[in-house]
Amino acid sequence: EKRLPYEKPVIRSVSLVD
Amino acid sequence: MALDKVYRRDGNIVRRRVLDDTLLVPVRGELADLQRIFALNATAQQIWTALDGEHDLAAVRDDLVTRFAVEPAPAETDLLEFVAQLSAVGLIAEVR
Repeated sequence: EKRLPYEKPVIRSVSLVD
Repeated sequence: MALDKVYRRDGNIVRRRVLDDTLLVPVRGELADLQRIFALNATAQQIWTALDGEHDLAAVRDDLVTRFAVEPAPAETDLLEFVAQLSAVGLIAEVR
């Protein structure tokens, strides 16, 4: 297997503004 | 959402690599839009790169299947869900 390991696409939102 | 749709990344977002993470950083826009950044995993990063305003979602899915160890069906399901998320937060726009 030459393909990369698959993981479900995830986007995390990080608030810059405590 | 159909696989013949074409999406383009928002031009107000820049991508930066920090160690193994990929961050999307808004650089222009409303103040509220500039107060958060987004972190992507490897699969999400590949999808983000592929949303170039020229290739439709079917091509993006095929690209995922070529690069990652995943079958077309789950790749398609995950892709459509992820694109809906990106669209909902305004990071991409539908071209056609």
